[in-house]
Amino acid sequence: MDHRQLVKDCLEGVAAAQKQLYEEFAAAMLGVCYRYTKSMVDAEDVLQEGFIMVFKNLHQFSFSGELGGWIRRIMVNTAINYLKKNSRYQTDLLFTDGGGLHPVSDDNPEVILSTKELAELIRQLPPGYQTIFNLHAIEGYSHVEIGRILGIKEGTSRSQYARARSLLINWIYKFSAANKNETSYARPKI
Amino acid sequence: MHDPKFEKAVQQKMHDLEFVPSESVWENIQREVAPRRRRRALAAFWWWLVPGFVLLGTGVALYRHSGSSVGAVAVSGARPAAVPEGGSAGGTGANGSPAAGTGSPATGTGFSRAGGGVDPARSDRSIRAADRLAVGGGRPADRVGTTDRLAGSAAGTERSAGGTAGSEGLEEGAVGKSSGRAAYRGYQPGLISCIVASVGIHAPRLYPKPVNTVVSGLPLPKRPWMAGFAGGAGVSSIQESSAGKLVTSASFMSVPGPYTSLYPNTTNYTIVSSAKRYSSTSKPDLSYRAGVFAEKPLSARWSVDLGLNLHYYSTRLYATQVANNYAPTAATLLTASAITYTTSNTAPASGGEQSYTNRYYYLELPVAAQWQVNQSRKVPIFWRGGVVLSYLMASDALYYDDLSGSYYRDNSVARKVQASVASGLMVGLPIRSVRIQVGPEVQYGLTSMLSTGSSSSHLFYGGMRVALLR
Repeated sequence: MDHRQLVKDCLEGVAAAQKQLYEEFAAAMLGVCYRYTKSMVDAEDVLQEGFIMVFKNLHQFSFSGELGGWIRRIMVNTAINYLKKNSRYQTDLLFTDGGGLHPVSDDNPEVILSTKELAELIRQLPPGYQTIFNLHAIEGYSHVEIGRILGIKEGTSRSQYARARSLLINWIYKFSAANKNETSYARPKI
Repeated sequence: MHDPKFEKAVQQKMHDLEFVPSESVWENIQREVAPRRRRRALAAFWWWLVPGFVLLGTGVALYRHSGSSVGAVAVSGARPAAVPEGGSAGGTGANGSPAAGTGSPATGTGFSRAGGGVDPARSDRSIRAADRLAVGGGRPADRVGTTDRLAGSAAGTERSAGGTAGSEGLEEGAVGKSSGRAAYRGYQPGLISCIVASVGIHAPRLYPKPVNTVVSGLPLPKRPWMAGFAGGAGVSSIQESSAGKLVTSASFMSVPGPYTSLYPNTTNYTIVSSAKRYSSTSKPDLSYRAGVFAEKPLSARWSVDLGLNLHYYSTRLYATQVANNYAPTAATLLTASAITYTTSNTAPASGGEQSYTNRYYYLELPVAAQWQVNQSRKVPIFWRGGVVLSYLMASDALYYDDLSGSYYRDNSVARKVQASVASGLMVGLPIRSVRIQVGPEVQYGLTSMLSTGSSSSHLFYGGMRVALLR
C-alpha cells in the first residue's frame, strides 16, 4: 500500500491503516525521540505524543514531501516541546554562553562507533548542547531556524553547537580509546 | 567553519538508529485516537441535533406565521384613527376572532370586567361569559385557531347563542377578521420561547480542527470554515429619539390578561375620556438569543463569521396609576375595531402599577469580523464587530397612540426588516478541544422600529455572548 492510500485510510479512521502507519515509522521515530531525551521512558512518551499529533493532523499532510520526513518533523517538534515543558530539562535548556571550547586534535574524527554507541554519546551531552547538536548536525536545521525554534539568538545557537561538537569529538576519541582497551562504557568525564 | 564530514557521518549513522517501542505505546495512542472517533460521532449527533431543532422550529414558526401578514390583523380597522366617534369602535379589537368579535356580550363584558368598568345591565352575563372563556381554557382559542372560514358560521352560531351577535355579525367578524385569526394561529410566542429556551449551546464540527502545532516546513494551514453555536442573554430596551410616540405616556394600560392570551393580535384597547394622564415608562427587560454561525479565519488574527439567530427582545411597560372612567357603549358590527367605552362610571382604581411586556421575536442574520487584540494563546481577547439584518417574526407589542390615548396592537407599524450594528469584546477560553468565547456585546438598531410616523425608536440589546467553536 502506498503512502497516499495509507494516509487516506487513516483519515477515514481505518484502525488497521493507523496501526500500519505506526508500525512502519515507529521504530525510526523512536530513534529520533531517543536522541533528544535522556531515557527510553521519556523517548516513548515523546513518541506517543508525537504519533497522536500525527494522527490528529494527518489531514494537513499535502504529499508535497516524504511522509516520513513530515512525521519526523512532528517528532522533533514534539520532543522540543517536551523538553521545554518537562522540568527535568528546563534548567539545562538555559542557553548561556558560559564555558569554553574543548580543544580537540582532529576536527573531523573518523566515527568508528556503532550507531547506538554514538547515540549514547549524544545523549550524554547536556540537554542544551544535545538539542542544538541534534537539530543542526542531524536534522539539518540552520542556526537561524534553530534560534527561531528554541527562542534563542542565532549566535547563541552557533556557539552552543561549536561547544557541543568539540565536546562530542572529545568523547568520541576517549570512547574509542576506551573501547580499544575493552573497558565497559561509562560516561566520559568532561 | 566546520568541515561537514563529521556531521555527515553522524547524520548517516543516526538515520539508522531504530528502537522497537513497547506495546503500551501503541495501546495508548490507539486509546487516544479510537475513542476520539466515537466521541466525534456522538458530538456530531448533538451538534447537528440542536441546530436541526432550531431550524425546524424556525421553519414551523415561520410556516405557521406565514398564514397571514403579522400586522394585517387589527390593523386597518383597529387603529384608533379608525375608531368612529363616540368610541363605538366596536367589537373587533378584542375580537379578532369571530366569537369575541362581533361585539358579543361575552367579549365585551369580559373586557369590561377585566378593565374594571362595570355595566350593571351586563355584569352578570359578562361575568358568566368571562368565566366561560377563562374556565374553558383554550377552547375558544382553539376553536378559532382551527376553524376555517367556512366552518366559521358553525362556531359563530354556537357563540351567538349566548350573546347578541347574530349570524350577520359573525359573518362580519369572520370576513373582517380572517386575517386576524390566521395571525393568531401564527403567533405563538410560547412555541418560540420553548424553542429558544431549549437550545443548548453546541456546535457542529464541520471540519477538522486546524493545526496548532508548530511544525517547521509544513504547508500553511488552509483555514477552513468552522461552525459553532452562539447564544447570549442580557437586557433589551427601546431607545427613542422623540418622546411620546411609542408608549411613553398613558392614562391607563388596560390589558386584560385572559383576553390578551386569547386574542393577542387583535386587541384594540380604546380608552376615551380619562381626563388625567399619567406617564408610563418603558423599561429594559430580558432578552436572549441563540443560533448557529460559521466562521472563516482569514489570517492568524482576523476572521469573519456569519450566522443565523433567533433573538427575543422584550421591554416592560408600566402604567403609574390605574384609574379610568369609562363605560361601554353600543358596539358596532361594522367597524372592525375593538369594544369601545365612553366615560360614565367611575371604576375603582385597582391600585399600584400595572405592567405589560412587549415581546419581539427576530430572526437575525449577523455578519461580523473578529480581530484578536492580543497574541496570547492561553487567553486571547477578541474584538468583534459587524452588522445584523433582522426580520421581525412575531410580536405582541402594544403601541400607544397619544392622539386617541389608547394602546393598540398593530404589528404593521413595526418595521419588519431592520439593520443593526453589533460590537463586543470576547475572551477566548480554550477548554480541551472546544474553543469558547465569552464576553459582553451590544447591539443597536440603525433603523427605526416603526415604519410610520416621525418617531425614531431603536432597539438596543446589551448582554453576554457565549460562542462555542470546534
